[in-house]
Amino acid sequence: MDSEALLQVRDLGKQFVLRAPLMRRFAGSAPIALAAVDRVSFDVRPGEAVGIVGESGCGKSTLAKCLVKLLEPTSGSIRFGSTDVHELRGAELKRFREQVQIVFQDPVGSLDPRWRVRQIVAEPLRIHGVDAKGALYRQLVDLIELVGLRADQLNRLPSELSGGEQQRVAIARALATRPRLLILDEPTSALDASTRIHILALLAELRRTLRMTYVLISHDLSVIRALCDRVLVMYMGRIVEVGPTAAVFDLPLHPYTEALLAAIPVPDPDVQKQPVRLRGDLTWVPPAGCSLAPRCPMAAPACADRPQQLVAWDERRLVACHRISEREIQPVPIVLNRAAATTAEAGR
Amino acid sequence: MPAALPLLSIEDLSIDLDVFRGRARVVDRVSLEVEEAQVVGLVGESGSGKSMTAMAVMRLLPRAASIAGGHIRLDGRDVLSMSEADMRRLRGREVAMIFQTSLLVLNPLLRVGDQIARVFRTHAGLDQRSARVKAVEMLDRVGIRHPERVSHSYPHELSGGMIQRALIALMTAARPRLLIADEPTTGLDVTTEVQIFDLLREIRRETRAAILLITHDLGTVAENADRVAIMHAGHIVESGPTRAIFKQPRHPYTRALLSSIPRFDGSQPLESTLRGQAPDVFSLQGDGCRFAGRCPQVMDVCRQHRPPLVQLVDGHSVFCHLYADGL
Repeated sequence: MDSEALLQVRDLGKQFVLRAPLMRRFAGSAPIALAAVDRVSFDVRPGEAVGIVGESGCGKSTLAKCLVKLLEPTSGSIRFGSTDVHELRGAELKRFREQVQIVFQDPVGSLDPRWRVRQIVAEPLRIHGVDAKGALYRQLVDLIELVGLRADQLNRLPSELSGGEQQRVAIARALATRPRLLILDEPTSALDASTRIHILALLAELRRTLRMTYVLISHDLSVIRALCDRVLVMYMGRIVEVGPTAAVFDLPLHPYTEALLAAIPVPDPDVQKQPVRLRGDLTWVPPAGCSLAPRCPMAAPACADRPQQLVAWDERRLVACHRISEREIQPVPIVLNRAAATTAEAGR
Repeated sequence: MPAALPLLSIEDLSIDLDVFRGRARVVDRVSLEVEEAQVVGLVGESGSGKSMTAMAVMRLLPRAASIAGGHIRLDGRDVLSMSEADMRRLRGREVAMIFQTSLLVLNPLLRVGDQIARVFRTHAGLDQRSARVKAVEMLDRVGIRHPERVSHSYPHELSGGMIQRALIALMTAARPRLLIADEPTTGLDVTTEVQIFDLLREIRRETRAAILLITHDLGTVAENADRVAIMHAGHIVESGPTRAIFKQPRHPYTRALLSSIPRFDGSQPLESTLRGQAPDVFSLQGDGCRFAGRCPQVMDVCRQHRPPLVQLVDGHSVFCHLYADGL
């Protein structure tokens, strides 16, 4: 086991059972199990910022909720430090919640509209025990200034703040317990472009000054590029590519990553892009073979037969593509399991 | 087409919004032209008045909004003085609009194919059966697989990308000459977004339709528009050929907007010159520049007087006191 990892996810799976519509149930339709997250493994080391990128329905938010124990996975394990997250109960769970916090996409929905900012930010402090009243106020001021707001804004209601300020409040609340790991689920997606860059700058700054560890979930590759050391690309519940952010962006290995990168609009009329297009739309029922095969521009007939597996492409990168071996560089064919992951991670 | 009339010309359009809080001029003396087969991007943050401007062209303004001045000419005809009956004939055939919330546009109780067929029955006078056949053809043309099967589906059975495609099929069925696309890909995934823009480009090539693309995303504008107009708090602050706007932005707001895009190659630091919020149009006073409160280069004159229109080369123009004495 890699003792260095702060967070260790192994073969994580989360299934949702979709019941057939009432009439069809009478006709004998069985419930369908949908794997939102399917055999996902990765490590996060202390101080690292790991990005998880993928499009809607790829399972990234389900994964985030499993990481903070808002959802219980159906299979696999999550270890935080030396504890198994699945086993946590009572006081230990409370301690875990202190150390792992989450910031959601929608600041309006995650802040109580009738609470003042000071109540919102004080709640985690109250739950996790801060003694004297004076100390509490001092901490609130520190927190609110840390995220770039002013002390007088502590008495505001969320509705009296702009979207960017609301998201700053949500970040302050998440930081209140001095967590070691911060999960950021689409932290800038609900914001205007002009606000987004200021929040990104704040997150970068906080990570530097507080030496935080981030798991950042986003569909927006430029956000991942700006903040993360490493990136995991998800498609239909599976990780299809892992690698250092700069390397993945410079040379995407998986056709899905390539299509994602090619799809980002570039605000420069002089840039000519390589048009890489996926075909058609996402389906809900995963195909038998590689999950991307029906849409993949590079798919060969064999791709539809076998599911793809993550293999090491070099010591820092993993990719799940049947056709990767047709590239010049020979990959080392190992399946990412507990042992292999350690080997792959150790080379980093 | 030298000296030909533009397909759409908006002149000094002003729109007032009357709500409980009072009255505000949400669109203020906006002028904009779109030529045949041209793609014009109208860019601004939320609340800048870009959708209001589009709704005025369709004559579909909400009841609280009223035209306070100006003209809209579509193919030489005065849109604002047309009767509702004439306007109804114009919509669909001459000008059509694709909305962001396309699920709300489609009737949830009717099959997708029947809704498209209705356009052919209304505008081309076809009977139900041949209109149905045309509808399936349209679905096929917008890249929907198994168009026959999809034509029998209800809107809720389709994915976001398919809905947007079906809507484009519906809106372009009568081959309108101007297509207004209001945030056509917001809420869609990026890989679907490129497919939708490929489709719009193809339709434009086939039908020579002009497209007014309304968006907050400068990236999609850079890739798709021939010309760009930048809106801020009801004013157009700068407009010109796409390349000029991106390579030589003149207005401090345009520059700030461009600086606030996180660069993909990580080459830029995470900082932006764009500060604060657009002003609340309900509490604006006087006729000063509406960007003055956020502008890093603000001068005294900016708060007092409306910025002058300064014409640069190649139809590039900017409303800004900085250039009152030339560049």
